[in-house]
Amino acid sequence: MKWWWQLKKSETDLERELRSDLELEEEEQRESGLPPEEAKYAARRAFGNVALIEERTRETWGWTPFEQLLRDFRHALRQLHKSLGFVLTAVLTLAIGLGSASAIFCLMDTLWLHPMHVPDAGRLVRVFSTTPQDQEGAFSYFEYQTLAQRMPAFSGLAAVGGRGSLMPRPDGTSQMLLTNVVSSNFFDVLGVRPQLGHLFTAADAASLRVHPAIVLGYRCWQREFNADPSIIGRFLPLRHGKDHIYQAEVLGVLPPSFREIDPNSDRDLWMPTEVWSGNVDSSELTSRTFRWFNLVGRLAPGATAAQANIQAASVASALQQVDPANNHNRGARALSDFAYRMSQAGTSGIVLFAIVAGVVLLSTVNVAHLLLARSLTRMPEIALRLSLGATRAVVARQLLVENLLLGLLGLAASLALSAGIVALLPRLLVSEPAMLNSYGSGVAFPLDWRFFFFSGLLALVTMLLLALVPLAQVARPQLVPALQTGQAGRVTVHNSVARRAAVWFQIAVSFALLVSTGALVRSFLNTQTRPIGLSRDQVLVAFTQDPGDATRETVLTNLRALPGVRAVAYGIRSPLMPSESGIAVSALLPSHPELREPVSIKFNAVSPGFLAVTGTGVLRGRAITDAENESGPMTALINRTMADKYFSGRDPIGQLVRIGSGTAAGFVDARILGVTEDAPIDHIGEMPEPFVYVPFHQYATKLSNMGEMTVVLATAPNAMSLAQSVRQALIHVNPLLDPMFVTSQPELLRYSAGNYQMMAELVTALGFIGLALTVVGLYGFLAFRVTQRRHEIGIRMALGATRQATALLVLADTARMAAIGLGIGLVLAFVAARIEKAALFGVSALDALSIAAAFSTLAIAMIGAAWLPARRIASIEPMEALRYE
Amino acid sequence: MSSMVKQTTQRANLLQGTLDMLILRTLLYGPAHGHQIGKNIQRTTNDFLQMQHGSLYPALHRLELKGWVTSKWEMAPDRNREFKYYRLTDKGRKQLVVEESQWKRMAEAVARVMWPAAEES
Repeated sequence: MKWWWQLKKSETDLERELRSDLELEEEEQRESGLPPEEAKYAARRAFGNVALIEERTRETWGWTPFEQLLRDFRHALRQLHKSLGFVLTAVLTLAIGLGSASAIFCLMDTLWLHPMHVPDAGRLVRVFSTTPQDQEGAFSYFEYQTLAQRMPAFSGLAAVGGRGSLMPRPDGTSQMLLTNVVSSNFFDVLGVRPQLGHLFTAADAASLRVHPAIVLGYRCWQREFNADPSIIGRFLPLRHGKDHIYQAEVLGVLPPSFREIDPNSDRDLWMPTEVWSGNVDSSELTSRTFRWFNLVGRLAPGATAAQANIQAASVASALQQVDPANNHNRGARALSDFAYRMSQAGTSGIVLFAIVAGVVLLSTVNVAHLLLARSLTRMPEIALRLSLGATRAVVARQLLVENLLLGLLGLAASLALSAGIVALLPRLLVSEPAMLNSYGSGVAFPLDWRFFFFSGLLALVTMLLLALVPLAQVARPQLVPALQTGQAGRVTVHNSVARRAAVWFQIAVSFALLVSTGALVRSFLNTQTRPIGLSRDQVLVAFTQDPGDATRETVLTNLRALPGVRAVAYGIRSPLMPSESGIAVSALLPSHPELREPVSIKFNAVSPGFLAVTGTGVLRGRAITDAENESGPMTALINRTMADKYFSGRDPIGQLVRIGSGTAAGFVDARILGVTEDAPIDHIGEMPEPFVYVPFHQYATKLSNMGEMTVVLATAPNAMSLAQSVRQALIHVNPLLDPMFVTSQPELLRYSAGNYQMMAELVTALGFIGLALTVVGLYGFLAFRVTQRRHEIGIRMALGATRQATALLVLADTARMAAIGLGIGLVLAFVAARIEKAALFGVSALDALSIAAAFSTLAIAMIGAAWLPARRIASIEPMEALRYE
Repeated sequence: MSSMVKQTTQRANLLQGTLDMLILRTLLYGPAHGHQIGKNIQRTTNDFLQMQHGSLYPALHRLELKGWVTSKWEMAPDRNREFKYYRLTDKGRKQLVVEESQWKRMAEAVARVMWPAAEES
């Protein structure tokens, strides 16, 4: 602003100089004998035009372009001030379009798109093990080591596997800390720097085997240790199983910006594989088929993700040749971290993006309409200025400045609006399931530079598009008719087809939006009401340690005795258990060609009554009972998908399936007792896949004891109200049984349907915004047409047309546009349906009900939009309309 | 509008070199304010050159921007009032020499075209 003060100073200085010289001239004239009054005029005459002198002198200062711009701005402000209604409508429309787009961008960026907070995150590549069922599988530690050695595309490849560690409390209970078991080179490969202390590196591998050490996540450091910096170098007691307690040195604390390799999760503890192997379970690292590591690598200079992908595939096929039994149908693929995150956004991301793009387009078209209508009404003014000698460049510059100002106002309003929406996002989104004794990761939606960059870019593109509208008007002005009539309504409109097309387009987009809204809302309602193979009744879920055969019964008896508990059962896991995908067994079925080699199939080991509590029905055969004990032969239940896939046409009941835990125990024949309905394993809406249930006792004794147990309790009152007493009952038996978390099946179901709920909520909001924009657009078009056709209607009426007939003119016009718009809309909806198919639950994308609802909503809205213009046209007085001649 | 502006600028350009030189020459006698400079040129040329204020003040400000003159508000000795006095700088003195020689060459060239016989004799 310095130049501004300088300019002001120069101006007063010039004024003073001219005044003093003028006064001197006047004095001299007086001294030469003129009367005072005449002397004054004589001085003025001698000087000439003072304002012009000032103007010319100012030009020599070189400020003129600035001043011109300032003048243009002042002019633009005056113009906009004169039409506040137009400005408000335009700014609000822009704000709604851009603001909702920015807010949705913030949501998508936080949930999916945001890269890891590490240097050069664009060079990170994810590697996955693949089977025909699973494209994002994990690797065993052995496979990781093989890949790390044989993939020159990477300068470093790191492994990370999510587990849990127990930190004993003084009272004997434990706090579970979500743990990432990582290869010791992990932080080096990613380029993570510590917030405090230091991080382990590959060079520490040997010493880590003897001196266990770990790194804390920032939030864990704050929550569990009150952000105490003296934690560095202290030893943390960690427990594995019931009795093994070891001490691990705290090396460092991670920065708050790095929480996990995937967005929106958080890990408490980062432990090198050496420590896990030495203190927890070495077999989990030596086994070739215990696959629990996700891989992330940094590309070597010059290497590409595509090269990494080829190398990964060739390593996988080499492993398959060496060891076909353990690598049946197994491959590997590598893709850039960005591509991976985009794939996670998946259909939801694409649908959201498309809908937001639709809303932005609708609002832009509306504003373009407004601008066009305005520039038409301003035609006489512009024509007058042009014919008085203003150059097109000057007029165009002024119009551009006006639009720029309008755009800036729109941008400011949209930023304010989107900041408001973003602030509400955490409350709009589905919260994590209520849990006792565990902490959610918490999603924060930051308004960072990416948000402002996106908003700015979007506003810029929109403004540039909108700037073309009035410029087109200046380019070929029709001066004579504009000047003659002095009436906007009488200027011939060349682009009325374009304006019509814009309305068709709006109706079409709005219709497709509403159809999608209907389908997504119905889809969410279906997740809440359809039978899904899980009970919606009150079921409490407590994840704890397996107390072993001796005390298991005591625990169950104590839990059954709690007031409000109706039934108790247990399994290794419960359906929809968070932050873990289903565990798997190897299965062989000699009778089926695909299962001649062992295939990994998800399973659960369950107690009698488990399926009854969780609400999974047995379709044929019978459920697991107390008869299936450790002394009897192994038995199993399979789900319907498995029965259809591997026993098509034959009765599976009584057949044998060979089951192995993947460890040394080998395979055990299990006789199939019955077929259950399909139930979601990890998420509602997932593709059904084969699933096996085996009796808990038989699995623990004949194959493997996982050491984990999840108790499920059918309760009479709200399940969560019993969470604390169930936890106390478990601690009462043994403090070591303190559950890692307690939650409820309704909570898990609510959370699992969260994506459907989020999509339904967002799309409903956007759908109605789109509808409102379309109604405003249609109304604007019709109202403008009425003004334009005033004269014509006047003549019609003077010749005897009735008021109904004239009103029908508007309605017929609307109906024609609606018909064309809806036609295009059907095509659009069909395209949208193909995209969003995967995001729907139990409803077809071209759902008849949704189409009917969208049609009637839009029809009512359009009649509403046409009502006022139709009334206005019916009330035209022919004499008044014709008087303009 | 714009065409008019263009024309005036052209006329000013034509006069510019001369006016600048005359102002600089006038200031050689000592500091003077705008009114004095104008009057002085008018008087010296026996009112042949009518000083246009519309050209004088822009010229003064231009010269100041180029650093050939400096300005200062000073008390006038005969009137009990402050005026904006312009003063020649060293740079301005050198510029005067340059402009003078340019003008001389120009005048000679014009003279040769206009009165070729006079040169022959």
